[in-house]
Amino acid sequence: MGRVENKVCLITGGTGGIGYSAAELMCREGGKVAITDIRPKEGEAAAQTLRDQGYAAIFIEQDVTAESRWPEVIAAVVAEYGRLDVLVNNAGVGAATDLEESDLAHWRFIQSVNFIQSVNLEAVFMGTQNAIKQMKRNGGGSIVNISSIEGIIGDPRSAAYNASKGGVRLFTKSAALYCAEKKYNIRVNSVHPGFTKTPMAETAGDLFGPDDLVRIQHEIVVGHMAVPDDQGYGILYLASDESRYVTGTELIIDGGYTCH
Amino acid sequence: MTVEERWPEVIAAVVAKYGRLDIMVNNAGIAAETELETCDLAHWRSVNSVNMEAVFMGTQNAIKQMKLNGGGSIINISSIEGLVGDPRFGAYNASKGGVRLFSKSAALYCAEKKYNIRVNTLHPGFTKTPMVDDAIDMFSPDDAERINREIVMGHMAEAVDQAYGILFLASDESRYMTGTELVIDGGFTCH
Repeated sequence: MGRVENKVCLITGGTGGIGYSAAELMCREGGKVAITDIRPKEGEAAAQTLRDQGYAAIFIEQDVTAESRWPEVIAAVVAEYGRLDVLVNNAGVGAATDLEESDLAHWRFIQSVNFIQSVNLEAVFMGTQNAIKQMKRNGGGSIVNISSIEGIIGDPRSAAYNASKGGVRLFTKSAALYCAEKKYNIRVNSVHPGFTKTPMAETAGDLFGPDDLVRIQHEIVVGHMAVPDDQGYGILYLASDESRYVTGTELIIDGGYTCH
Repeated sequence: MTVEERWPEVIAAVVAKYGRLDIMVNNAGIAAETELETCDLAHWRSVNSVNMEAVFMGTQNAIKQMKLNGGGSIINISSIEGLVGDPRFGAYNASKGGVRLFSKSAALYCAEKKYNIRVNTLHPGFTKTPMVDDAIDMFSPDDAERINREIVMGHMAEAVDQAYGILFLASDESRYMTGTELVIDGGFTCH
């Protein structure tokens, strides 16, 4: 109990999957939580489920790709809780890219319609930037950016996703160095989940062919997918002061996927 | 821990006391400066026997017990010097780099055997410990300045900063982590 006591935690894409797991674990450990999502109905329901357990939780509707919305979301969190200690840039989307068939128009298309690059990378940039502005006022904080094993290794069917998650990985290190240089006491790290049983992974599974699934199954050396809490506990560790000397690094939770 | 026949005795003593073994932290290590052009093989072996060979023996003996009690977590303490090179620590670099990849091999072995044993490495940056106090004396003023610049957080870790990482890897909270690396270095290796 109390591993993030009274810490104010903002979690994007907090309605389900890994984001909701992180929100629930933060609540259980004494945190005050704000979850955002593009789906207001599901978001309100998720926050209500947390409040029903006696936790401090609010929902804020957010399209993470909308630049003008970010300062409003941070302001809403501060209006409710008075500060911001933890940001989990969790919202993300997966999609397959056929490298030969997709052209620059496709690449730009998926950027321009709030797709892979926009949600997975640009939103992480904006979230980190806006969180820093608030956290430096309240003496520091921890930013956890959700990358992926696909930010570490390539996948022949996921070029744009690879690009976005690789971008998150190195952007995170840059932001960690920036904050350390400025002595903001803000840590910035990335989490790299392997295949995890979430609504997004179920959708992504449809994008792979049978051969791909055999290949993926072979790579997961522990033989099964993760559950959201496996990722949530890693996020909790990085959010808490237990990891106060951890910045600019990567937490890989992948059942051995990338170690061979 | 460099004595091979002592290892089964140590594991047996733990099991005699507690009935099982769930967690093994291969933490013992030494730091020693390596002058690459003049050092000899005896120096190389002295560093590698504690930092690497003992990790191999500890891992091997822990696996033999853990598989009997349904699984476990092995945490091998590598170093940031298992990730980045240091011109004055060739043997130490080799030993810690060896720990890093040996741990991945052991993780894959245990997964393949379905032993439910996870194997991961911890990579501490400079931490206020007696070992580092001794090591700091080995650095010239230029080295000390270079190291200080690399620690972007501006200060060394406390031992507890590493211990919390070990606790996380030991607990079931990290049950989906194997064959990976936890770097606790105040930003040393991210630039």
